[in-house]
Order: sequence, then C-alpha cells, then structure tokens
Amino acid sequence: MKDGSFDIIVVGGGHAGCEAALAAARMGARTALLTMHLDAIAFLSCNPAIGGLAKGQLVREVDALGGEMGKVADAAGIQFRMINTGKGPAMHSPRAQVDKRAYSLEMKRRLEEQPNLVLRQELVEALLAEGGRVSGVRCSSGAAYGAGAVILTTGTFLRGVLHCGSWKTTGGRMGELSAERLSGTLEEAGLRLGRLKTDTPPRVNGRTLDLERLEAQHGDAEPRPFSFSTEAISREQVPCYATQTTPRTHEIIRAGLHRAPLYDGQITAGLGPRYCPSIEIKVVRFPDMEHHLLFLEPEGRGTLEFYCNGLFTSLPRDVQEEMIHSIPGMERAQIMRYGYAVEYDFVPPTQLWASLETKVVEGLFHAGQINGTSGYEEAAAQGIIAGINAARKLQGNEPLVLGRDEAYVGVLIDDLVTKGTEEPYRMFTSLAEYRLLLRQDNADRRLMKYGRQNGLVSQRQWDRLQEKEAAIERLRRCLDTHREGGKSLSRILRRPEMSIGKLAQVHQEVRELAADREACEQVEIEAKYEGYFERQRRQIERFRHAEDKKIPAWLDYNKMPELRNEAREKLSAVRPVSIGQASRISGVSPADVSILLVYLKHGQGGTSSGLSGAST
Amino acid sequence: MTDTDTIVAVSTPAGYALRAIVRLSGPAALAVVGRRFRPEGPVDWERTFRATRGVLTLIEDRLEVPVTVYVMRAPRSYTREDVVELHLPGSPALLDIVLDDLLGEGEEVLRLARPGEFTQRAYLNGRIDLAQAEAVLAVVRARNEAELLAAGARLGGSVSAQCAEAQDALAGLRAEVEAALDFAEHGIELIGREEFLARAERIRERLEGEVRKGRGELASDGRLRVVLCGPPNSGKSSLLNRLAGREVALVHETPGTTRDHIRSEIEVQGVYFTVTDTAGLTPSGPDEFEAQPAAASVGEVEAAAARRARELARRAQLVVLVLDGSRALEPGELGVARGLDRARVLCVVNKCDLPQVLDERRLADAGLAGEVVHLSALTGEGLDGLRQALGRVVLEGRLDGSAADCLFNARQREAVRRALRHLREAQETVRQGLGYEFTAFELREATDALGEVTGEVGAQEVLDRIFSRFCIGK
Repeated sequence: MKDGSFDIIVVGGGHAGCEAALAAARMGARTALLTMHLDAIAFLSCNPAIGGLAKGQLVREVDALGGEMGKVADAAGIQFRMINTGKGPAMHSPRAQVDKRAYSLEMKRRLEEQPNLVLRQELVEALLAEGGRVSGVRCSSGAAYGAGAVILTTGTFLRGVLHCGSWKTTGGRMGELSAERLSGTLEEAGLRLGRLKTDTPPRVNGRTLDLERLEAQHGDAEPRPFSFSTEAISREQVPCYATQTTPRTHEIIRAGLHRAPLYDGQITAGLGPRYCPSIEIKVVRFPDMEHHLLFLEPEGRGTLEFYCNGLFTSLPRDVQEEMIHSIPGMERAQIMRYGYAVEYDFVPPTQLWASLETKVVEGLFHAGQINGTSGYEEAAAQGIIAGINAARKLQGNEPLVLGRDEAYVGVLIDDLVTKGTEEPYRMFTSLAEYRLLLRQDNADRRLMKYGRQNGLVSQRQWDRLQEKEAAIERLRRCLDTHREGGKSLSRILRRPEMSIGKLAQVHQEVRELAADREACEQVEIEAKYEGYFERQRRQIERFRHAEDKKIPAWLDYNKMPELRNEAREKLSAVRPVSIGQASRISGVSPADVSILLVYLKHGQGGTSSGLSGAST
Repeated sequence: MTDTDTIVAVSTPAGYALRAIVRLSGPAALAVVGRRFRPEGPVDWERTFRATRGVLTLIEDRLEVPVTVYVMRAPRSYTREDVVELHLPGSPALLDIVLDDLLGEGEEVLRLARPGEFTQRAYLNGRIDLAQAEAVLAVVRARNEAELLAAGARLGGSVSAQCAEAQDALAGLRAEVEAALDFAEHGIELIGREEFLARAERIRERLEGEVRKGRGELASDGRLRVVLCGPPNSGKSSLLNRLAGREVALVHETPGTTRDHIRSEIEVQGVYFTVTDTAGLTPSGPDEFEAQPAAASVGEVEAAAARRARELARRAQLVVLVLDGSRALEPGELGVARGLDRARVLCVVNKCDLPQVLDERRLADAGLAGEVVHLSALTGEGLDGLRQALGRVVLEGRLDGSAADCLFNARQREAVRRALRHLREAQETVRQGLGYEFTAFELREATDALGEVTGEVGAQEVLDRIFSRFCIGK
C-alpha cells in the first residue's frame, strides 16, 4: 500500500485501542495505532476514575493478562480505595480517582516507548476489504495503509452527535470531530449497525465550591495497587466530596423537561443506560425521592476542575446552571463545561466470534464501545483480547477465548457475542455465575498463565507468581498437617472467629509462613469459603463439559427439521462454537440442544450431509 | 448439556401395575442405589446382568421395600453407562417415595431423566447405530413438543400459578440481595436480615404447600386416562356403563344427551384406568370437527362441552374412538383422531348386534385399522375383547408413561423441591451472617430450579428489577 503496510492497524487511541496496540506490538506484530487526536490518548471522557465494583476485577484481570491499565492507574492515581470491604472477598473491588491529564500522558509515553508500534494522527474514513478479508484502511488525508488485521476501537466517534438542550452538533466528544464516513463502509462490508446514547455531567470550578460544608471522602490509609507488578503506592491522596440534590433541584428539572432532548424527541437512540441514568430520568422515574446522591471528584492534581458524578444530563445550559445552584455546597459554582449527551453508531456484537473477530470480514476485530459496551475497564478488557487474537491470527494460532468460569473478561465477551445488548453493556458481578471464584485477589492465579503464553508477562512477574504459589502451598500444607486438639489447623481456620493471624500467635511454623501476606490472604479466603468454592468448582466442571463440546462449522441448522423455528433462527444468527454457548442463547431450549447433540454425533459417524430429512 | 449426570426415571407406564421398574444410568447409579440396598446374600457388583434380591431402605431407614436389583456395568448396558434397575411393586405412591428418596441426593448427583434421554445416551455413546438415529430424533422432537405443550398447560394450572408467584417473589428477593452487593456505594437502602428472613419464609411456605398438593395430585392420578370419543349416539355412555358395571351415565336415544363428562374407574389386569365419557363430537367440515348441536334447541352450552371434550382427548393417554357399526361413516367423523398419535387410538365398532353397515376400509384409509374391537354395549358381547385390548395396550408399552402431563407433575415437583432446598440454604446463610454473596448464590440456584417450571430468570432480568426498584447511578 502506498503509505505503508503493517501487520495490524488499530483504529482509535482510547482504552481499548491502547491495550490492543500494546498487546499486538509486544507479540511481535508490526503495529500502527491511528487516532484522530494524539493528545486524547487514553482520555477519560467521563469520570476521572478507574475501577469500582466488577470493573476493579476487570482491571486486575487485564493486568494479569499483561495489559497496561492497572499500571497506568497506579502511576496516575490520586486517591485509592478498596470498596465493598464490608462484604466478602469476592465483592471487594479496587477503585481509584486518577489525574486525567497524567493518565493520558502516562499511557501515551508507554505507547511511544513501545518498539514495533507506530503512532499516527489520522482520521480513518474507510475499511478496505477484498473477498471478505480485510486489507487495510484509507484516511481522510488520502493516505492508505495495508494490514493483515484491523482492530476498530471507535468509541463514541462513529457518526457521533452531541446534544445539550436544543443545541446539537456532530462530534465524538465535546470539542472534537466525529468519524462520519467509516460507518458506511462497514455497512457495505455486510455489518449491521445500531445506535446508542450516553450522557456526561457538568464540570465545575473548585474555587467556586463550598467544600468545607461538604462531607469529604478520603482514600484508604494503605492504598492497594491495581497492578500485580506495583510494589507499593506512597503519595499524598486527595479527597472527593459528597453532596445531594434537593427538592428545589427536582422542581427546576421538571420545569425544564420539555426542553430536554431526551424527552422532546431530539435524541432517538433511547434513554441511555439504566445503571447510569441522567438526572432528568431519575427525577421522572423516582418522583418520590427528595434527594439524589452526588460526588464531586477532582479531575486532577494540577487543576481545580471537579467532575459532578451523578448529574448526567443533556438539559439546556440555563437549566444546568439553575440546577447546580440549588445543590448544597454548589450555590456559587461556576460551570466550566456543560453536561451533554452523545449518540453514536455501534456494531451489535452478536456479529462477532468470541475472539472479537467479525464473522463477515475476516481479519477485522472490534473492541470497546463499538461493541455496545460502556466503561474504560470493559473497553480495555476487550482491547487486550482483540490485540492478542489479531496477533495470534497472523501467527496462525487459535484465538484466546476466556471462559465464563475463568474471568469477568470471559463473561463480558460471552454475553456480548451470545446475547448481544440493547443498552451500553456494563459489567456487574451478578452477571458472573462463578463470581465467588472470580475475585480481584486471585486474578493473577487465574490468568497470568495466558499473559505469559503470549509473551505479555515478564519473566520477573512470572517468577513472582511462582513464588507466591509455592508460599501458598507451603502454608496450606503446614495447616493441613499440624493439629490442635485432634483437629487440623485448616479445619480450625474455617471457624468464623478464627484467622491465620491467631493461629500464628500459637504456632511457630505458621508464624514464619504467614509472613507472606499474599499467601496468607489466599489460604485464608479459600479455607473460609471452602464449601461454596467446592460447589462452584463442581458447577464449573459441568459447565466445562458443555463448553468443550465443540460445534463444527459444517453443521447446518436449516437441515434440522426437529429444531423449532425460533431456535433455528437464533442458532443460525449466533453460530455458537460450543454446545455450552448454544444453550445460553435465549430461545434455544434444552430439547433443541439435545437435537444438536444427536446431529453432532451423527456427523462424527462420517457421512457428510447430516440427517437431512430425518423424521419429517 | 450435562450428560455426565446420573439420571433416573420410572421406566414402566404410569398406573397400578404389578411391577414397576425404576432405572438409573450414569456414573453415580451404583453408589446411589448401594447406599439404600441391603442384599439378601453376598453380591458382586462387578458382575453384570445379575439379579439380586434384597431390601431397599428409604426415608432414613424408616421404610423397607422388597426389591430386585439388576446391575448392568458400563459399557455392557443399553446406555453404555452403569445402569441399575430396581424392580419394585407397582404402586404409584411407592414409586413416588422411591424417586423422592433417590433424588434427595441432590442435583449434582442424580436428576430426573428427560423423555427419551436413555435412548439419547445410548445413541451418543455409540450403543445403537445410525439407522436408529431417526427414532432418537423423533423421541427428542416429541420432547420438544411435550415441553411446549406442558408450557402451554402450565399457564392455566393452579399449581403453576402459585409457582409463578413464588418465582416472582423469589426474583424480587434476589434483586434486593444483588442490589445490596453490586450497588452498595449508591446509597440505596439495603434489605435487612429480618425482612429477608420474613420474605423468604413466606415464599418457602407457599412452595411447600405446592409440593404437598402436587404429591396428592400425583397419587390420585396414578391411573391411565382413557377418553371415549365418537359421533353422537354411537353408544359411548352405554359402553362406559358396561365397563363400570353400573349406571354412571345417563343413556338416552336422543343424540347429544351427554353434556357433562362422566368418569368411571375400571381395573383391567391390575392396571387402573380412569375412563371419561365425552359429549358427542361430530364433523362440520372435512378438516375441522366442531361440536354439532344435535337437538334444535341447543347452542352454546353444547359447543362449550364439545370443546372441553376435545381438550380431554388431547390430554388423554388413550383415546377410544367409538363408532356406530349400524350406520355409514359420515364425512369427517374420523377427524377426532386427527392430530393424535395412532398408537394412542383404539377403535371400537359398537352395535354389532345390529346389521353392519360401516365400511371398515375407511378406518384403514385413516390409519386407524391397527386395533379394532367389535362389540355391543347393549348386549355385552365383545366387551372382554375390549378389556383385553386395553390390557395389551399397556403391557406392550405402547403408551408412553412419561406423557407430557404426568411427567411434568413429577418434574415440577422435583424442581420445586430443589428450589426449596436452596431457599432454606439461603435463609441459613443469612442466619449465620455469612454474607449476601452466598445468599445470592443460593437464590440463583433456587430461581434456576424453579425456572424449570415457570421459565428462566436470567441475570439481566434481575438487573431489570434492580433498576426499576432502585435509583441506581450516582
């Protein structure tokens, strides 16, 4: 191609694109990352925070796989908290406020330092494909680049439209352009597109806030890092502040509703995500609530700008002003940037394989919001998987597909490609059947092997994990073999009031082994919840059995008269790769799955055409 | 799919037979039976195809039942898995207890087989060959239909209405717990321990009531359902009176006399039948048969009665089509058998004491010539022939003992019981203060189990409930 050829081209420099590009380049692929705006690398378009419930687990998993998000968050974090510690270890999630500018620069620097990776500012306008296979991209500058694989991480930029009251403009983010032409070439390539919408809140000047009157929320005294490779974090942390809306705020919102683009028909892509509703939706749907909680989060250490978490809105500017001034502590607040809504194209993800490669265009991978997800962490998780799998494809290897039993990343991608999504998909722990085992504390033990196999985890990191495993094993054996009053220490440890710390007080050997805090944590958690873990492991065995029954490509659902029509249509659309995946498609009954099993068995018998016409 | 599970089913037809067989297949089959079986003498489980007499001890040793156990070791069995057969006295109530006791092991060890599942395993494990694949598919397809049928039937039933309400309450409870886990930081009001326990208790009571009721229904329903159908005045009521040996139906020579279904229980060769007489069903056109008001004065009432009758025929395990031999068949009179499995239809040509006009080739054309009994309900001639035919139908195993509704009785009950077990565990996690993530684990299992009766409650639906109940998003 006239302007250069690469193995892999990543389109977009957000959280998905950065992870994808780094993974691909580190796996030896000659990679280019093309972005519209190099100053917006890994930009935190919404809240200045990483992690949180279920999302914190995702960050830890991305880190275990050899991704960058956790390391960058550790470097750019300005307040660290382990949340939900009032509940069991499976519910603990790390979360950090990060300095928005520092985060972006940290990531940009890491991309710049990465051998094999070319960074270039370009607006990609067209996907180039020949005979159902991707061949490269063409840009608005006229430049064309060839590639063996292309990873699209377009965020909210595909035909993005921004709304604030009756005002609207094209753009993927306030102050930036949109990608107007790429969508059309995707449709030409045979992909079906949909439309989603999400909101942002106003940002205010901290000088004009009455922070002394508000409740400050501080970080943990002992910050715990996201990354398994970060030894410790020792820096001054900054607080967030909590406030709440008032009945007066709600009156103002109600009075302005007729001018809300969400309600007057200007926004057509629905009401947006239900877990992150705009303030106008909250007021309409919960009319009896007098207050809604808000958090004022610092956008960085070097700026006074605050992000008003909880005040997502696309109401007109004057309503936003009035509303802000009715909130305690914000009476004099100056808005620096108004809240707005963004509508954008996405590609419904049932059109993807679990490798994140599209089914209709070979070599084309999608990650992040283009797949209908929301959130930096969800994007990063898909990004690293897309990067790994694009590289593996060019190497001639099978894709890396994580199971629902192995990782939140696996749950996320399986949900997307099997069930699709109607609203921006966000990770919740309740979506993971095996969440007792998918904890933030054991992400390394679950997933680092995959990062290692793909060359994304350093020898040093790998050695540390081996040491940790050995320490866990030593401690466990010690507790199994030593007895107290006829009972093994492992058994005694299961009592609710007991801890390894207490055992260490009376047992010399335990005391020595318990010096390893990470090992202690693992052994203690596993002892406490052994009964439940055992049950989850048995469930996983059954789950695995169905996952391992692969459905070969020759299976033709149209030649199975026994299937019900609905099942036949759904199966033909999703094309599940395993019996397990087939059984998760809504509209496919256990009996339909039995029919598949019979046909699969028949096919193994050696005839080519299936049982066409049987029992009709 | 979980074909590593061990499965169990009663493999003889429902009803009071002399002997019944409970069959288990899968890796845990021997262990499950072994825990309950006390052989008369020494026994070598490794030897296959051996009959061993002994006693089955059930309900924590409180009940002992004489049993003959047949063991067929893998791969030398029908399914190529370990298969154990229990040959027991054929009382439905007893079989009920045996199944309950075996299934008490928990779904991870043993579960109820789905229709056709033994055959399916035989095929998947290479026991039966390619030529038989069609038959397997037919069974599975029937299962798909049976499940649909049952799903339809469930919408109307009272048991299911109760289960659906319980499921709704359970899903609501699960949403509260999940909200407390996933949205703790959103300032929402968490469900407290006392409220949780109280709400769980209400659901538990409701479900336990259903299990008790379900058991009663099954016990009284351990009979094969036979429905008498046919054109008006073909002699269905007379035949019922003959079979029952007493006047149970009002007999009148005016066609259309029977409007209400009249039921009688008869016993043939140790098998009990519930025989139901229906209002006359006559054709109104070649493709559809409609209730035909026989007398000029009737209208809606009889139409409704005939609709109920057709419904009964559809749900019956055996349909006896009663025709008048002294009369020519009118177009569409065989239509009642349309849509019914031919093996489930027995033809009776009544009034053999009168000159015969009916052309039986028409029966053959309609595929109904398989089993035709000639009799006279008036004189009693040929009645023994009908009794023998009824017996043969059962003993030859032509009736599927797991016909949709029987099956779903047992299946529903088993699912409800499993849901109950997990609900109790959920309450226990709260009493012990283990943490809501464990409560949620049990509640998920409970809704999954109950979902087999009422329809699945997916993770997304739980989220829907959370979002409509709580204002999420800070």
